[in-house]
Amino acid sequence: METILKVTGLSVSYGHVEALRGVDVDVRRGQIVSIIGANGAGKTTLLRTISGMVKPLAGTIEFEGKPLPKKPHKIVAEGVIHVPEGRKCFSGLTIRDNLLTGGYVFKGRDLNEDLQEQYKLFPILEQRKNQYAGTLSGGEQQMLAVARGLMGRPKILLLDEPSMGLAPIIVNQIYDLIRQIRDRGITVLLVEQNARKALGVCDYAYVLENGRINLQGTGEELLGSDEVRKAYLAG
Amino acid sequence: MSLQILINGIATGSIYALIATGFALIFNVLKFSNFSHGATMTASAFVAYFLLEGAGLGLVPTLLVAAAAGALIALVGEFVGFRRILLNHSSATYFFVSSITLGTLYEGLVTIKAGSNFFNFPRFFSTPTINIGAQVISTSDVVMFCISMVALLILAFIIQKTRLGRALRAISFDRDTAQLMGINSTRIIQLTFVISGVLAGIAGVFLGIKYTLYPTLGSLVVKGFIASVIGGLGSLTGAVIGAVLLGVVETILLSLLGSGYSTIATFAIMLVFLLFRPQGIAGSNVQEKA
Repeated sequence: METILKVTGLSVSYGHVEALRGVDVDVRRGQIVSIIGANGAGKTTLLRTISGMVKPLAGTIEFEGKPLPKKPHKIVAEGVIHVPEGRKCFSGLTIRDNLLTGGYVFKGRDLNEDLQEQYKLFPILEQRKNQYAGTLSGGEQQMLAVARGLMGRPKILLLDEPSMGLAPIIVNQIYDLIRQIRDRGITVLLVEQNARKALGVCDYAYVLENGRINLQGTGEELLGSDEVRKAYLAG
Repeated sequence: MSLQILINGIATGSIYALIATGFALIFNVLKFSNFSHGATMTASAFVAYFLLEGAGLGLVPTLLVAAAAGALIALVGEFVGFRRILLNHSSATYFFVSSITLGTLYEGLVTIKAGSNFFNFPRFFSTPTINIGAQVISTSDVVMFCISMVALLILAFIIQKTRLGRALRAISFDRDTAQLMGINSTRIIQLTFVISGVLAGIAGVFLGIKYTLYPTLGSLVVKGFIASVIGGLGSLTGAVIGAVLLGVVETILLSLLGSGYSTIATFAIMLVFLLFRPQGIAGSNVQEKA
């Protein structure tokens, strides 16, 4: 399968702090690719750089063989959709308005069909469509954040810590959902601290440590690696 | 209380509502008060006055010119005074400095042209009063009230029902995440300034009709600040409610206490209100959630 997203030699600094140092990541179309690593390893920075929110110091990001545009809103229009860490639902907007905001790039298009599609996938969102997003529970907000991302008709969905702060049963639901998204042909780049979950679901994975890629392989390979077991799966 | 006083108060309140919403819109996107809003009102009203001087045109052309001038001034202000600060995530102090500076600049430019004189808009209404039974109501109050209401309804429609309005609300809650939805935040913020400028232009003309035009007319923007604080900073509905309340209370106090004490009483009431409900009338709706 061909590469859809190719990150080469990516370096990012915040002032004097180097967050990423020469990161190479290849994401193949139709796969789930996980990036695991500890807090502060640079996972979120990597996603924010891909979605244009952080400017890289060096390196290139190619999407479908072409360099990605620089501005976040143009990157979204290419079909690269980032569901940020901590869900970041617009708490004072209704659920329906949150979803419509997710389809913002489709100017002049009737978004009703897209809305219905999300409601079918997440019936809870339809029941509460006129409530403020701030009234939803953490798990429901995560569903809304993903549904809002899907409204942008992604070719690749960047998911940042979708399991953060959620009960195990909800985490399982979210991971089922991630599989379903892949099965619809949407490529997923998943960033997680929950290494066991992320390695279990993915087709390929990278281990990010102090801003560098330390290890890579299929999910199974990494689950079997001593290094990963010691550092990320202990307990 | 007579009908006359009530209508006068509501009309005054509706002008305050134009000021307060224009001010609240910018507060929403900048998370800071735009202190140049008052001078924008004055400057756009003066532009309309001088451009149409002697042309004998009616109220509507005057409002249109003032609205266009307000939009233009706000656009320039956004670019010169706020854009860099916003993009760099700089401290709010810079917004304070740049908005005060812009305001002083506009006021200075107006003073150069107008001196410290008072100007009167031409008489826009052939019959200055309407009689309903024994009550005498000023025509300008009624007209200003109606136009303000139409402007506010259009604003509410834009904010609640349109793609632009949704983008604006999304940016108000979380600018970073709004950008991840494909919203060009710079463009939307520009448009927000344009809308705010249009409201400032209309409010400027109305204040000019009510109190005559003079270079420091914009200091009446304080009434808009107060209204939007009473309403709950950032809430547009709250701003409108706060503004009408303020207008009515002020007018009633004026008729009871006379001009000197009524101002003091108005401010005292506001302080007491804020003591008990610092988040304003609509406060809880606009609080950011983690």
